[in-house]
Amino acid sequence: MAVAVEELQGLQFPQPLQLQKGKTALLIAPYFDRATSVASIAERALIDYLQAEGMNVLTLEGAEATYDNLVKVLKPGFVELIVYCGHGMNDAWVGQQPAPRMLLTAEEAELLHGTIVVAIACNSLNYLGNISVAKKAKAYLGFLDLVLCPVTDHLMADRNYQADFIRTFMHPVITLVQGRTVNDAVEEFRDLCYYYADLYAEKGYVLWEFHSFAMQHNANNFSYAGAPDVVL
Amino acid sequence: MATIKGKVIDSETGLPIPFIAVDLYRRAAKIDDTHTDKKGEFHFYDVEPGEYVVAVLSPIHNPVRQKVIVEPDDEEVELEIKTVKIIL
Repeated sequence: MAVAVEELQGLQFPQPLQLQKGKTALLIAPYFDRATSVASIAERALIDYLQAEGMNVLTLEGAEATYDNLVKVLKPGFVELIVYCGHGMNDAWVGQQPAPRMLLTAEEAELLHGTIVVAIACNSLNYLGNISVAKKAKAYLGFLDLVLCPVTDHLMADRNYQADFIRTFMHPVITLVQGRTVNDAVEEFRDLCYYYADLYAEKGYVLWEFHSFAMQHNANNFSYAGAPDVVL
Repeated sequence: MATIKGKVIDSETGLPIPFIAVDLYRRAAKIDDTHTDKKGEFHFYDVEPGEYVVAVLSPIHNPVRQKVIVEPDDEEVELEIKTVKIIL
């Protein structure tokens, strides 16, 4: 370990490309249970990343993740990228719970007009994604089935699976911010999930079978609505 | 011979989890499997003294492995296993 630290001393990381400098992103992360708490870690890490890339970042976190707040923030032409990390359904983002209503339903899909959406949420690409693009969202990247979001405990100390899953959830946003297409973002997400799935099988970590399955499940169910060559 | 009796509980809701798969391992080899009933309870019968791992498996819950030691004098060993949903 000491060697690794010494090797890092003086290491210069390249400056962010800042291709999206001045653009605005809205990051939404309700958190009220274990799964949303894990997903919200991805959202927090993305805040730092997007700001380093020169983007303006708005957030709706925890109890702020409500429909009323979303409507206030989503003024036409103001937000280019929306990232939602939370519970989802075919036709809705659940948002913070308990609450009198969902954060966003398909009836309000026109609120996403002009934006690229990345939804780290179960099932929402099935209907909400498609209707959003029909209502002029530029693209909607999301999942066609359940998103598996494992929690690492002390008995899995030989591999921090949770950190790997969080890393995969961040990747589509990173791909888009680096100027690549929505198709690239989906393909790279799948590649990263399969990389981890294969790594777990190769190394044989504790409970590797389950986590390899979960990675492959997430990879196989991530896709997009909209044109494949859309860029941020 | 002893019975390993357990209950699987959702750590967030405190409610039992019905019909979830439970496997019994000894020396890394699976020797028995069952599932919880509608009360979230499961049993492994006629278990010899020794050290075991009980594994709870479900596609939508965090996988859990819990060590269990069955002593020669034990007739019944009880355990409570807590897990949590991992779906968004």
